[in-house]
Amino acid sequence: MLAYTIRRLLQGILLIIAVSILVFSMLHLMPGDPVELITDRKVPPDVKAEMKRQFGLDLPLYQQYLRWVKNIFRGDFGISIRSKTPVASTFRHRIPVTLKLTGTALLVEFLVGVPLGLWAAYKKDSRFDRAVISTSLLFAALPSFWVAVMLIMIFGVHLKLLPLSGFSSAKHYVLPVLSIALGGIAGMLRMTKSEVLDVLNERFVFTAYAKGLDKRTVLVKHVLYNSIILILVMMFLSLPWIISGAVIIENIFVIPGMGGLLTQAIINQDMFVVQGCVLIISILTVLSNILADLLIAALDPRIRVSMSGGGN
Amino acid sequence: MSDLAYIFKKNRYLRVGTIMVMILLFIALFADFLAPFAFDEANREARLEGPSADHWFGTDEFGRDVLSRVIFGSRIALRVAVLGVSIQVLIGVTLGLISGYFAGVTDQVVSFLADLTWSLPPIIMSMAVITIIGKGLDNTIIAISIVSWAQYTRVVRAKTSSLKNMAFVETALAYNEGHPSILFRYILPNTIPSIIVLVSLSIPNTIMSTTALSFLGLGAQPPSPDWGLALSSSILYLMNAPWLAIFPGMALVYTVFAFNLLGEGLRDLLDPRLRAR
Repeated sequence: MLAYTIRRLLQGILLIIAVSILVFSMLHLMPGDPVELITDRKVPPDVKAEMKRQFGLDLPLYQQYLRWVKNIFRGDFGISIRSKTPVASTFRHRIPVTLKLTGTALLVEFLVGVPLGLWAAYKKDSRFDRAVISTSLLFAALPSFWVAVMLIMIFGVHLKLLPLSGFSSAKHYVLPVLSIALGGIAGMLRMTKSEVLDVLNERFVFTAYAKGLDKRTVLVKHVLYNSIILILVMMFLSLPWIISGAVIIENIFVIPGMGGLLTQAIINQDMFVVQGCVLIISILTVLSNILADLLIAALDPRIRVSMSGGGN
Repeated sequence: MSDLAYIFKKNRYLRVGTIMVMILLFIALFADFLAPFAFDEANREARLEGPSADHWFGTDEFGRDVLSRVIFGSRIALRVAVLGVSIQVLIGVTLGLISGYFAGVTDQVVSFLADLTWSLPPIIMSMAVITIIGKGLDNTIIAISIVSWAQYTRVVRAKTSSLKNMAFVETALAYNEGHPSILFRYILPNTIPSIIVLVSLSIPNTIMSTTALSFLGLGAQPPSPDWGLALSSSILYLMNAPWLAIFPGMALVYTVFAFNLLGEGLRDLLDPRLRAR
């Protein structure tokens, strides 16, 4: 387990370094002088030259990179051109919001998708199974932002049941989380079904029945327990998509998270904010992937062996 | 011919998917004849009118015919599909062939890059690219595509590394065929079925992501009849003009659903093992 943990951590660090290099080079890949990108047009040339020295933009690139990384470790992401405030202080309020949103969406996908999938597998070819599976195929084709618009129209504008924007109470969570999770539930459900169907054919399931256990015990204790690992793997693999969904949905419901911030920053060409957002969201994704892999390895010894043994 | 009929009879996904995609192609191809109005023809007299005999899908805030805009929007969706998937195939298949065939350090570098793009949120990555290359429909297509080629690389790499040990490749090597010739004349043709399946499965994702970015204002710009753009401006009029949100959204759902079905059908037909990814 230790060897695997170290291996996985090293992989993660390598990924984060690669991302940081990409994010750093954004400023230099853009057409034009970096100083022009991070200052107002009105700033006089001599001030710009001074800023260039101050930000170390006259240094060789690798030194600039190291300097940038060092600043980030100190919590300094630069200053937003738009709001003139340190980017880091904006992040402090915004990161928890996005984490709450994606976390809740992930939880809902799991809590709704897995039981439905389990039941569909158990009742394979029944009317319930067919209805659930065809509904999920349709739901998978629904873009989250259209779902969001439709939900706003139905629950917000016409029924006036739920708030349309903001993120201050539990009620505010319902529509955004539903918009993000609907497609995910569909995927989770179909995956759970096919995984459970595989496990249902294993010999230990027959053994469990032979021992005289009732159906529900077999289903939950034996079948679900053995399919849950792969379900967890797939769930965390879908994390990048959930975060992508959250970024879009935050914009629609005016939720003060990282997604709304990033979109506005791109439109305003607020470089330090863009860099910070991309970096932080990427690091959070990589970290949660590592965490998921370790969790899965702890649950299932087979994965541990196959992953730390020879090569790929 | 009877084989084809049999395949279509047995494979329901393929049958329905093909018909739905054909309808879409027909609409896009003959948009000029099918659309009752030009997509940018504004009529100040008829703003935000509900569905009627003149305007089946109603009119928008500039008095433009929503039906016509939805019809012309199908061309954008297909442009996204063709351009986006071509870029993904070009990058993904090339890297997959190279890394599967040559193995070693090349393989490790390519696999790392594939892992990198695979494990990060695609929308975030493409937003970073858009920051560099700028807004607009084509830039958005490029941005989405240069972060979503990893699945091609993975599949083609796996196929290539098993194909390169087969007798027909070793024979070709013995006849002094060069590496490029072996890659393109012997290995590539054998990966085509998998690539076709991946293409049809990645079209809906590419369309969905590009539309999402247009929805956020980073992709297609007004007065383009892009469905995502139409949806984002519809939000302001949800109370009085719900048709602005309903019809472009349904067109998008139809398109994504059509390609999803086609993809599922092609997978069952050409490469059933791809299902166990």
